[in-house]
Parts: sequence; C-alpha cells; structure tokens
Amino acid sequence: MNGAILLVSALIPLVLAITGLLNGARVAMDRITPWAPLPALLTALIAPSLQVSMPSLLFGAEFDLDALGRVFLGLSAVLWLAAGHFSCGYFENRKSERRHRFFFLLTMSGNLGLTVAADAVTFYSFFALMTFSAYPLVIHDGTENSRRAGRSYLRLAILGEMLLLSGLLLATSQAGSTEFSALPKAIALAPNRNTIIALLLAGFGVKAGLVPLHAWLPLAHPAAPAPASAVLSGTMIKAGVLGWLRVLPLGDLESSTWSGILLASGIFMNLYGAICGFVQVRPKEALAYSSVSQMGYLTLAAGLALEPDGVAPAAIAACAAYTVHHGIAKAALFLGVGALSHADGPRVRVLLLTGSLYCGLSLAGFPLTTGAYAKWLLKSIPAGKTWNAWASPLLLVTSIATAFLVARIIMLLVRLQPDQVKHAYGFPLAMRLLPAWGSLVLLGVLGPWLLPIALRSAGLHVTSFSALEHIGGGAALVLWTTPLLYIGRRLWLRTAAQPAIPPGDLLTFVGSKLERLTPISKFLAVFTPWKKPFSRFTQIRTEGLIKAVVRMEEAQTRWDFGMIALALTWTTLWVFLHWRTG
Amino acid sequence: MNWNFWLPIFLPLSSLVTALLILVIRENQHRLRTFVNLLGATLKIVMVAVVGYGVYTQHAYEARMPLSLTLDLVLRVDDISLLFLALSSTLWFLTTIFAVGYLEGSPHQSRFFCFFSLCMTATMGISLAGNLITFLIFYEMLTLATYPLIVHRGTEKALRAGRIYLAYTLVGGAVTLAGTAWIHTLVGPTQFAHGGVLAPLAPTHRHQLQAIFTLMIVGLGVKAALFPLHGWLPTAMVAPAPVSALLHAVAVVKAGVFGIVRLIYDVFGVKFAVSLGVLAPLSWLAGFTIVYGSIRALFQHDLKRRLAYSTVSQLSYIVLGAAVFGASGTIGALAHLVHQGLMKITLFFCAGILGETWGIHGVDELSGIGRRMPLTMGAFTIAAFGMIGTPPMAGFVSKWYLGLGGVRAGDYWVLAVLIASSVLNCAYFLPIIHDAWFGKSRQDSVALPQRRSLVVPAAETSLPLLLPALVTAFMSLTAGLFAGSHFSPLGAARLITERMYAP
Repeated sequence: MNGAILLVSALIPLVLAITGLLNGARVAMDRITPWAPLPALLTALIAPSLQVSMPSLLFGAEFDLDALGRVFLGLSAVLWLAAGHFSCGYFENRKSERRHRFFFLLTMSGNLGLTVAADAVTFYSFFALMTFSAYPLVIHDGTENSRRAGRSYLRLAILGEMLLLSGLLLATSQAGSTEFSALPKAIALAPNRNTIIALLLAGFGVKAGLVPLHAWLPLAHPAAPAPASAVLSGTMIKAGVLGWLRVLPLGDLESSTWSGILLASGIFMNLYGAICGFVQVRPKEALAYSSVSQMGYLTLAAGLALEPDGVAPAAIAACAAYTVHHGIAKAALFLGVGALSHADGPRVRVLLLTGSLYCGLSLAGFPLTTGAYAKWLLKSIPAGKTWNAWASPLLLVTSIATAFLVARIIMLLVRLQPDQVKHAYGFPLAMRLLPAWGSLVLLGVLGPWLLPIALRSAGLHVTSFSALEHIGGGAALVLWTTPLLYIGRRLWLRTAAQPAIPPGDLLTFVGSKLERLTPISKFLAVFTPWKKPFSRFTQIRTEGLIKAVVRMEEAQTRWDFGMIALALTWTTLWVFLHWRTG
Repeated sequence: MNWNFWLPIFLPLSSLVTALLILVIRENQHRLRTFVNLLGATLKIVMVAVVGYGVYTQHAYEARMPLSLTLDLVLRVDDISLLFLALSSTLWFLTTIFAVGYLEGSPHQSRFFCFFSLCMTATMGISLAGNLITFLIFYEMLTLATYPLIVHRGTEKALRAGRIYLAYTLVGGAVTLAGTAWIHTLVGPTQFAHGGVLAPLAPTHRHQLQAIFTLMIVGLGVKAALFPLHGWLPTAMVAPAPVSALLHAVAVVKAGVFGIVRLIYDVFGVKFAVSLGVLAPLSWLAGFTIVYGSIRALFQHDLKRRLAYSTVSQLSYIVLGAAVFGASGTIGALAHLVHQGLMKITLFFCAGILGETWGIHGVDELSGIGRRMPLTMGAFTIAAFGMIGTPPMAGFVSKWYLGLGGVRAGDYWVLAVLIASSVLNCAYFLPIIHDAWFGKSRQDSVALPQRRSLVVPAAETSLPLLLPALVTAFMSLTAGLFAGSHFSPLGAARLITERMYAP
C-alpha cells in the first residue's frame, strides 16, 4: 500500500476545515465533520507497517507507521471521533459552532499528523499546528475567564515551542539529520547532551504537564468546551510524551541521572496533581489536575525508558498502554461532565454518573479495569532491583491518592447543577450526547480484554493479564482504599465556595506576587498578547528609558545626525577591529 | 544576435523602456498605462525564466561595456543574481497590480509609475552587476529613483521623510563609493567571484582591508537598516502602501543586504573575511539589530510603523546569516533574502488594503476586522506566523538554517537571539491577529468603504488589491511547505552555497 496514505489521512481534517469555509459546503460539513478521523482510524487498524519519505516536503518529510505511532494514531482517532460526534449539537450558536469546527479540525489534523511523523521537523510542524489551533478552542466562550486561561496557555505554549526549537536545533546539528532514527543516538553521543535533553524535556514537558510547566492545564481545560477538553486531556497532552519517546536517547545514556530526575518528577507530579485536584470545587478543574497527576505515571514510565540497561521496550509498551487507558477514561469523564451539565432526567443522570464512576475507578486502578492492567505493566518493567522492590508500594500510595481524587470528582459531579436544559434537533441535548460518551465508556469497559490484543497486534510486546492477577493486585488496593476513604470522608465530601489552591496554582501564585512588584509585572504585561503594550508600559518607571530611545530615534531622522552617526559608527567599528585583531 | 550578451542588457532595459513609455502616456489613459506596465512586468518574468533555465543548463550570460579606460560596466547573470532577479521580477509584477488598484482615481499616476519602473531598472541592474562599480552605479540610481515615490503624496510629512531618506542614502552611497575607490586603488578593477578577490593582499594590507570592509558595511548598512543607521526606514513608511511594500521587500533594503552578501562572499570571500576578523563584529551588530528592531516594533501604534521596525529586525537575520561562517548560515541568509521579501510584502499589502478599504492604520483599530475581511486577514495571519517562524511557513525554514549555522559555528548566542526575536515577534504580531479574529467588532467608528468600485460585489475589497496579497501569502506558505524541493528558495540557496563553499 502506498505510504502517502499516512499523510493523506492526517490531512483530511485540514482539507475539510478549509472546505468548510466555503458557503455552499456548510450543510454537508455538518454531516461529514464528525467522521473526519475515520480514515486515520482505519489506517491505524488495518494498514500494514508503512514507511514513506517525501523529499520535497519541508526538509524531506518522513512518515512511519511504527508500533508506537500506530497506538497513538488509533487512540487519537478514536477520541477525536467521539469528541466530534459529541460536539454535534453541543453548541447553541451556529456561528460559534462553525468557528469551533474549523479549529477543531485543524487541531485534529495536527494531532493525527504528529503521531505518524518520523522526522523532527515534520513532527514539530504538526505539533505547532496543534498547539496554535487549540488556542481558539480554549477561548471559545469569550469570557474574561477563558481569555485569561487562553493567555496562560499561549504563553506557556510559546515557551515550550522555543525550548523545543532550541533543543531540536542543537540535536540536529549533532546528528546531521532530522530523522528520528538518527536523533536519539546523536544526542547520547553529543558533548552537550545534558543541555539538549533538558531543553527537549522541558519543551515537550509544557504539553505533557510537567510540573511546574503544567499551569496552563487546570486553567485551559475548564475554559474549553467539553469536547475540546476531552481531546486536550485525552490525546493532545500525550503528544508531549510521544515527543519524549521519539527524540530522547532511550537506553543509550550511560548514566541514569536523567532517568532518576524523570522518575522523581513523575512521582512528584502524581502526588502534587492529586493534592491540588483534591481541593478544587468544580469538576473540570479537578479533572484537569487529575490529568497532571496521571501524566506523572507517563513521566515515570519515560524515566524508566531512559534507564541504561535495555528496559526501554518494556517501558515504551507500558507507556503506550497507559496512554490508551488514560486517554479513553479521561476523555469519557470530560464528555460526561459536558453531558451532565445538560442532563435533566434522573435516569440519564444516574447513567452518566455510573459511567463516570467506572472511568474514575479505572483511573485509580481498580480490578477489572484498564487502569489495573496499565499499572501492572508499569510495575513489571524490569528496571532493576530497586524498582522491582519499590514499585508495588509506590503504586499503591499513588493509587490511593488517585482514589481520593476520584472520590472528590464523583462527589463534585453528583453536586453539579445542570445548566438550562437544551434541545437540539428535537431531542433533549443530553440524549444526543449520550452515544459518543457511551461508546467511549463501553470501550473502557471492554478495555481489559481489548487493550492487550490491540497493543500486541500493533507490535508491542506486552504480556496478558489474568483475571486472577486482577483480583490479586486489586484486592490490596480495595482493602486499603475503602477504609481510608471512609475515614477521610469529611475531606472529599466537604463543600467550599472557593478552592483552597486556586486553579493554575503556581502561575496564579507567582502572578499575584508579581502584581506587587509593579515594574516587573508591567514589563511582563508587555508580553500579554492582545493588549496595547504601550499604554501599559508608559505608566512605569522605565518611562525615562523609553523616552530616551524615542528621542534618539527622532534625532536619527535629522540628517546632520545621520552624518555624525555614520562617521561615529565607522570609527568605532574600525577602532574596535584594531583592538580585537591587534 | 548573441543572446548571451543581450539578455542581461534587455532585463533592465525592459523596465527603462516601460518607464519612458509611461512618461508619454497621458494622465487619464489608465488602461493603456496599466497595459504597458503589465506588459513590461510580464516580459521581464519571461526573460528571467529564460535566463534561469540558461543558468541551470550552465549557460553564461555576460555583457561587458567599457565605461572608461579601466572601468567596465559588467552585467552578468550568476546564481546569486538569479535568486534576486526571480524574487524582484515576481514581486514587482504583483506590486504593479496592487499599485494599479491602490492608486485608482488618485492624481500623478504617470509620474508614479514612471519612477516605479525606473526603480525596477535600478534593482535589475543591482542584481545583474558583475563588479563593484556597476553595482554602485545602479545602487545610486535606485536611491534617486525611489525618492519621488516616497514623497509621492507631497504632504509635509512625506517631504520630510524624503529628505531624511535622501540624506541617509546619499551619504551611505558616498561612503560606499569611497570604499569602492579604495579597493580599486589596491587591486584595480575587480569582478565579483565566489571566494573573493582580495585574499592575495592579506599579508601586507591587513589593516587597510579591515578599514575598507568597515567602510563598505557602513555604506551598505544604511540601506540594509543596520542599527544605528536604520532611522530613515520607519520614517519612510509614509509612502503609499505599494511603495512601502517594495521598499521593505525587494527594492531598497534588499539592495543594501544584497550588497553586503556580495561584499562578504564575492569581494572579500567568506574564508578570508573570517581570517580578517571582520565578520564576528558584524554578526554581533546584526544580532543586536534583530533584538532592537523587535523591541521597538513592540511599542508602535501604527501598523505600518510596526511592520517597518519588524523589517529592521528581519533584515538583520540575513546579515547575521551571511556573517556567521558556515554553509548553514549562508543557506539561511540566502533563503531569508527571498522569504523575508515574500512575507513582508504580504504584510504591507494587507496593511495597505486595511488602510485603503476601511481607513484603518492603528494596531488597536483592528478589532473584529477578520470577520469583515477574512481573506485579507488570512493572508496577514499566514505572513505573520511566518515572521514568527512557525513551521511550516517560510520564516521557519530560514530561522532553522540560521540557528543551525549559529550552532555549527559554535556561536550559541545566535540561537538566543533567534529565540528572543521569535518571542518578541509573537508579542507584536499575535495581539494583532488575536484582535482581528477574536476581538469584538467596532460598531461605532467603522467607516464606510472608501472605494465604490468593487469588481466583485461580494468581495471584501477590490480584486487588484486582494489578489497580490493572496498570491504572496500562498507563496510564503508553499516556500516553507515545499522547502525540500529543488525549485524552492531553500533549494536555490542550497545550490548557491554548495558552489560558494566549493574548494
């Protein structure tokens, strides 16, 4: 089969987005849009292993449907499919729905494309497409709140892009090529490998929610509409992890320093996210923090993959499994919140809550869920004695933390007051939303059986997991969690008007401190997109400096000054040259 | 007839003839003038294509005419000139269309288009120049031909801008002349040649050569808007939009940068320049100008002024790439020569459309304009993202190679400069884009369209204004997207660099 199919299936949403701008195509687009990721899904499911290089595209684009890419492509396609169907009729305003659809499709294209990209520049291009197109999704409702969220999203995203660009440039200059097959080895041998690794870790870390670069997550997720949050948490933040797995020298490093750093930050992220999420008062914020917490597991797995002694394949497989597990569960939860806020009937509410509870338990790793399986895979990575000894207690602690967070989330969902009940196309809205949500939950329920099969047929070496082990491993968790949850019920049942830790924890905290240091905050405000920088800037002390510069520029527009400047420049440069070269 | 001799002469001559024809056309003969203009521009594109094919198949085009006993006027097509020729002839064609739409119904069109074509003649001459003296003659001619365009509106502000422009560029030209004369006293008449011609003088004339290099850079740096010689550029943006577009993309500023590229690679020779120690200070100056221009752009209210400072910054990308030793830097510089032209001309076209259609000039008046003019703002967005350097736009390609050049040369600060500039570019372009697409539409002060004659009733502005912007935006996108192709600016830049660094 022709390898171009990889590019085509990723670009179909992009083409649809542009077609959708044409007036005549709008009605047809309503029907087609939700199915846009279908070609990608089919590619992931049935296409053979494909490789293709397109030398004219970018700097010679390479596409490769390898095992990891296939898993990520399949997951992304499934989630975008669900979110696309969910968003049909989710929006009241046709005009805003169209705008949402346009950027939804662009983001989708970026997300699908990066999973099959096999060279750094192609990956980076799709990554940037995804990042920038997701911004309008975040600020979709146009309130001041979501604009603030969008602002922090964009700032951190730009920071990430810049770190990434520097890292990739340094790596490419070492490797002499941008292909993923060459980059990791070159990085491992580079004299400045620590700088490169740090830049790449942080650059992709912004997307992956690496604390303290995670601050955009709990702000952007609640601001975005439910289907956008679902894909944001379900697949887009995973792109950061995929980036790590693609470029980092897995198994090629001699020391395990970086592996240790990632391991430690993974554990820290896990607990930090759980704590921050636990004190939230709105379900979407809590869910967003739960994503930070869950990304901790993936960070941890990436850390294990960096270990020198050849455990990378097992760690990568565990990473892939966890990605699929978390992607489906978290997307279903986010869609559940969206459906619940429009659900009126008690039966629908019970159904939605039950499904959400199942997904929550899956996150916590209860028996007979994908969570249990994915955590078991993490645990059984053969990464040395220390890991084997400490993995079980460690995962038990983190699972208990997750269980508390899940209890809190379910509590918040129960208390969630539905918005004004909407009707779309003659049905109550919630009924329209159910199929997309329901299929995700169903996929989650079937997950423990489907997931090993899917991973294995993609080409990853994973072991199956017997029901006995499910029950054996789960028993400890259930036995610990139930009494603890009962003892701590006051904690997760409590009500509060304001969260004890504001969403965006560090960023909000630092921001409020900076407010007091006026000059600095005003200087930073210059970088606030979409405000006139000048009007703010003039108010501050640096006014004098600005005036001096402006006066100098004005002076430059006089021609006697021009002559003097010319003479001076030449003299200075010449003297300088003499001084330098002796 | 010997085409190898005559083609290099016909290239500038076609514009000159156009200019003279326009002089005799009456003011109200719009159609005839437009026809002559477009005929000249089309003819030139065809000739450039022929010459391009010729160079590709190893043809040598050279016309040599004696100026005096020792000096020759040499017009020659080599690979670098071809790059510049292709860029300027294409953009000129588009700008002519834009100018026809822009100036519709305004007085003094014959004068305008006459000097417009003269400007083109000079630019053609600059790109074809085979030695320093030819280069200088056309360089000065460009200065003089551009002045009437800048003061076209005849307002007090325009006249002032014109005075400043003349003061700067004439002095710059004089300095360049002095440098050229100095070179002539040392080595006699020279030709441009990859690898340079001054290296044999190194042991005895080191300090003199350093002085000459500095002198030439200062002279050329005026048009290339190197800090602190950039003062004229933001002032000159009072010119009509098509003029600004040309000024910032192909004609004047590019002549300066092109001169610097020629100086480094074809007069001194890059390896020799490195051994003289003159390139590092130049790269520092360029690096400083990049950041300085971006910061200054941040504080401009006026859209065109902001774009002008952005040009100051972007031009120095090219100088930086040329001054950082190594193939990647050179590729980046040559590619950016084209890319910057494509992107900046798009931005100025859009600024012109906004000003002409809705009377919008300030960056804070753009709120919600994207819904009214989706195509214009779409083009603007593509170009602005290119300036920021987001893949897959053209700007990314040059930034990547410049960064690679910096890293390979061990100058890690180049990377820092590029990153800083990208962030600043985000800070001054993203607010505009955000306001335009997501801001609330202004209900109160929206002026009615000034232009009554929309060719297509549903179009957002008249077609001659819109089409060139769309075409250049499309080119800025495809130049990046298909950078790996042989026919992309990057492909050409790679080819040229290969020859330049050939032993």
